[in-house]
Amino acid sequence: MSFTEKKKRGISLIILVAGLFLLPLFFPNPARIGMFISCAVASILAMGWLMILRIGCLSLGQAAFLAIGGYTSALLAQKAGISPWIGLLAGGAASGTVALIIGMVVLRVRGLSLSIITFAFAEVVRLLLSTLEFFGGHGGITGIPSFPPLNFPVLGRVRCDSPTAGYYILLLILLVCGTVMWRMDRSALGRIFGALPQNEALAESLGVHPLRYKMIGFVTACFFAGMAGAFTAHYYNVLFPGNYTPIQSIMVQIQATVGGVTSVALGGLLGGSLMVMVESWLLNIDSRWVYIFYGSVILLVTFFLPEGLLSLPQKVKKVMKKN
Amino acid sequence: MSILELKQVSRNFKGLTALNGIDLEVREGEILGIIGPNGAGKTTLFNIVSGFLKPTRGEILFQGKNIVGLRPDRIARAGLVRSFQGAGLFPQYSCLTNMIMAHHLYNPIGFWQTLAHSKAYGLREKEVKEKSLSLLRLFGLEKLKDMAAKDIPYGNQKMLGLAMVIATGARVLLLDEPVAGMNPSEARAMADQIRGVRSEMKKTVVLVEHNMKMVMGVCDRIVVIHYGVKIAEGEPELIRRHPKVIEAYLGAADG
Repeated sequence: MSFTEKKKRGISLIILVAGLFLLPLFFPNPARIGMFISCAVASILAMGWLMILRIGCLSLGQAAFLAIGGYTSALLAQKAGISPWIGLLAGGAASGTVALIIGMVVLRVRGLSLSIITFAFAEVVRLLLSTLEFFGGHGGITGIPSFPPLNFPVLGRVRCDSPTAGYYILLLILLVCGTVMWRMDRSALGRIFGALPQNEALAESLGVHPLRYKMIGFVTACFFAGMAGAFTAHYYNVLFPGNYTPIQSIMVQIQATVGGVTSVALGGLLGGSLMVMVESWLLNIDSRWVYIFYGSVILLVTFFLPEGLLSLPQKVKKVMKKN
Repeated sequence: MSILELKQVSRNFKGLTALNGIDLEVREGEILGIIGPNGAGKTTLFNIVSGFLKPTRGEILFQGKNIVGLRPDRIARAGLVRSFQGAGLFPQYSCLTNMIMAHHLYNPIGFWQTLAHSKAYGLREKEVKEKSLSLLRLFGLEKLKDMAAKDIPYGNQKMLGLAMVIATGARVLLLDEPVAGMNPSEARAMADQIRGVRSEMKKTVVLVEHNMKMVMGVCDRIVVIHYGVKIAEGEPELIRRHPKVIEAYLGAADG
């Protein structure tokens, strides 16, 4: 990569991050901020899904990791009085740990059976949450404590339970997640991830331990999904098992695919944000449109843009050149 | 001195005996050929030695240590690396990236160092890139470095496969049909490279091959396997005239 190209990329990245930070100033309406929050949660999930795709696995159970993070943090706060700030990390750690255990099974198999296991796993998690009294059963958990105020040296006491504060908390998680995903994707690690679906036996014979590397990708993805889940618990103050149905996992997959498989971080951000924006617009008209929209978009993208929206500029350039 | 030794290695697949009590000794610095009719168990033997399959019975000693039960990546780290039948590459990756992948043992990638993106990590990556380029040059693949491995000619793909096995730094190379499907001039070039690898890089080579001309021309010694049993072993001249080998390949003479 030439120097100017690097510079150009750096500048666009700074503009992107600055834009994300300034967003609430331009759209102070709490409903808008609520939508941005949904976008960010979707983006984190989509990034994770793409990272798991990188290692050659198609996950159909990402909602479960969102749920595990959320329930962990909520229960820790309600039953043990643990601060939601610690809960964020604990939620991520819980999801990561479950991913580590389930990964031992999931990552050893390939193709369709893998997807089915993730799907079944997510359903087991959802059914456990909705049947066991400990997790609140069908009614879920209500009255989850919000993020407590923070004391900053200059600003003094800052309330953290407003939509704007929530946005900034989540934005930080999103940025950390995006940076980690970007680094992993664009480095030697990403090179190994990408090699595994191409020829796992060859990688193995060159000294790569496939399970170890798949685990790194899988656990990282699920860790951030758990963090996002913990955030939603303290932001919305309620959790329902009905939020983690298979359709949620499938929507993550569609969002990620629409964004683009060429970059984990950018594809996740683009797909997650764009799809949720359109979704919330459609919800105002008629909620039934949402599923029609998701269904038709995945069909169109699969046929015409299999590498997702990120590949659109390149494709347009190609078509222009031909004419 | 023997660097690799198989003792009474057997392998059954649900009642079918693919290998039956194979004894084999590979001497340091030699080129050993393993031949046999189709279905003789040659590839099974490779899969067992490289750790992709476990033997039902027997011992495999590499540099005096038993490697039975070790994972393939562990065996590779110990210094025993195999190539694969067919292309055996990462098809979507460029030739250069394929070579960089092959340096994994030289530059193992960790999670935290990747995240930290330290200077040492960058230097190491750069060094591996240089090494990869010089190996590509050595194998006459430099011009193809940016092409996807799946798009280069078959002969070059096989050459890249060999170069990648070399890049791992292994002492013993197991080559599974290195010239299969090649035209005569490509096969000759490959044979020359294999000889060069042995004499200049001091590697030990074990190869499985059907191309008799190549095997007879390149190998110091040849082992013949038939129905999972070793039936002959010796120098190419001896093997060429060995009655059991002729019988195995041409069928039993009448009476």
